[in-house]
Amino acid sequence: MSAKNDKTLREMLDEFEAIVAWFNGEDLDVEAASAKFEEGSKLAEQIRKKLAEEKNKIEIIEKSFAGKNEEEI
Amino acid sequence: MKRSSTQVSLLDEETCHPELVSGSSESHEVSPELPSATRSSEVVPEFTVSEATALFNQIFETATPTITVIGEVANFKVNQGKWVFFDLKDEESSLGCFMSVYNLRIAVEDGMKVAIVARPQITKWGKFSLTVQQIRPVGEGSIKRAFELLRAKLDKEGLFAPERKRLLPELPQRIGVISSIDAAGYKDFVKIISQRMGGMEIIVAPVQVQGEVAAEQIIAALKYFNEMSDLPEVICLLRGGGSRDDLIAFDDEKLVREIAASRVPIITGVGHEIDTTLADLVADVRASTPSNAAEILVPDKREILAGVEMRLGGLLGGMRTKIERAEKEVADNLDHMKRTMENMISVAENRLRLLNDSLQHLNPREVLRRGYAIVRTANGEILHTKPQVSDKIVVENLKFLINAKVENVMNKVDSETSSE
Repeated sequence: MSAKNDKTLREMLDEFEAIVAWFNGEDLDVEAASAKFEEGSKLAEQIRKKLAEEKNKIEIIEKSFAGKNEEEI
Repeated sequence: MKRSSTQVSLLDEETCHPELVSGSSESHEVSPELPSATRSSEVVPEFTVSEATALFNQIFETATPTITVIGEVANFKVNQGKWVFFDLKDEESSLGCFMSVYNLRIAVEDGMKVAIVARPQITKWGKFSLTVQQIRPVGEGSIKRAFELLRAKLDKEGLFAPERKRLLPELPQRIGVISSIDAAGYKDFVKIISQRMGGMEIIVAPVQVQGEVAAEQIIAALKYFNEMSDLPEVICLLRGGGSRDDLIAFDDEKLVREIAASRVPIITGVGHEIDTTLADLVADVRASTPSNAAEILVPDKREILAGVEMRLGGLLGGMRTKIERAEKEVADNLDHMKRTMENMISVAENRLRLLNDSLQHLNPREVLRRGYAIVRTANGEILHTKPQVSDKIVVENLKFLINAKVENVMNKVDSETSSE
C-alpha cells in the first residue's frame, strides 16, 4: 500500500477541501491550476476507491458483562 | 445449629413474635400449648432464641431464597442517607422491607406499585423483614411516576443540561456499541452503518438490554469501554422497540449516572421514536431508533462521493468562469480606453474648431467681406489722424484698391475719433 492510501478518509477529504478552496481563491494562477486540478482528480479517485472498498471490522467482545447481581439471581 | 435435644422453648420474650409463631406453627407442627406441653411419643427440639432465629432464616433460605413480591409502597423513608425502609402492602397484608440506598435505583414514593426481588429474613430483634435487592415500578402509572420523580431529581442536579452535551466525532473510526447482538435493532444498526460507511472498527459489547440484569450489564460495558487504553471515539447504546416496561433498564439511576460520567460521548438509540428514557435524556445525542443512531453517527458514503465529484466538476467550471471573467475585464478595459481616447480627440477637435472660428473673425479680409474698407495714407499707413483736404489716400475694400483725394473732412458728432 502506498503512503497515500494510509491516509484516513478525513485527511483525504481535508486535502480535497484545501484544493477546492485554492480554486475559489481570489488570485487564480492559471499556470498552477492544471497541476492542482490533477491533484484534486487523483484525490477524488482515492476517496472513491476508499469508500467503495473499505469494509467495517466488527469485533464482538468475548468478555461477559454479567454483573454480580446476575450471578446471584 | 440444630440440636438433638428433646426439650424446646420457642417462646422467648426477646425474639418471639406471636404472629410469626402462629403463622409457622402449622408447618413446623409446633403445638399452641407450648412451652409446657410435650408429646410423650415425640422428641421436641430445643433451641436458644438465636438458634431458633437462625433456624427460621435457614428454612427461609432453603424454601424461598429469593422471591419477587408485588405490592404497594407505604411508609417509605430513607435513614441517614444509607438505609431504606418501607412497607409493601395489598388489601389484606403488609410486609416490612429494608434495603440499602445503593440498590435503590429508581425513585419511589408511597402509593407506588412495585415489584421487589428480596430475601425473607427474621432480624435478631425478631422482626420479619424482606431484604430488597432490586425494586422496579409495576404498571403504567407507577413506571411513569418513577420516571418523572427521577427525572426531576436528576434534572435538578443538572445531568440533562444542554451545556453538558458533547459533539459526536464527524467521521468516527472506532465505535463502541452496547447492545444485545441478537436483537433486530442491533442488526438494523449494523446493516445501515455498513451501507453508509466503511473502514471503521466497531467493537460490540453484548449485553442483555431487558430484565433485571440489564442495567448492571450495560454499566459494566460502559466501564469496559471507558477503561480501554485506546478509547472508542463514541459509544452507541442500542435497544430495539418494545413496550415501555421493556425499556425500564434505561431509566435506572445508576446507569444514568454512569452515562453522565462517561469519558466517551454517548449516543442512544433506544426503543421507538415516541419512547424517551432517562438514558436518552442524559446521553450526548439521542437517536430515535438504532437505525437512526447509525444515520446520525456516520455520513453516507454515497453522499460524500457525490459531493466530491460535484466539487471536482465545479473546479473546471470555476476556472473557466474565472478565465472568462478575466477576458471580459480585459475587453472592457480596452473598450473603456478606446472610448476615453475618442472622447479626448473629440474634445480637442471641438476646441480647434472654435479657435479656428475665432481666428476667422479676426482676419481683416473677413471684415472687408462684410463691407468695410481700410483707409491708408499715401505711404501706406493706416489712417488714424485727421487728413487734410487734397491729401492722397488709398481706400481698400474686398475687391479694389482705390487711390483717392480728400475733398472734405467733417468731424463725426458721435464718433470716438471726432475728438482726435
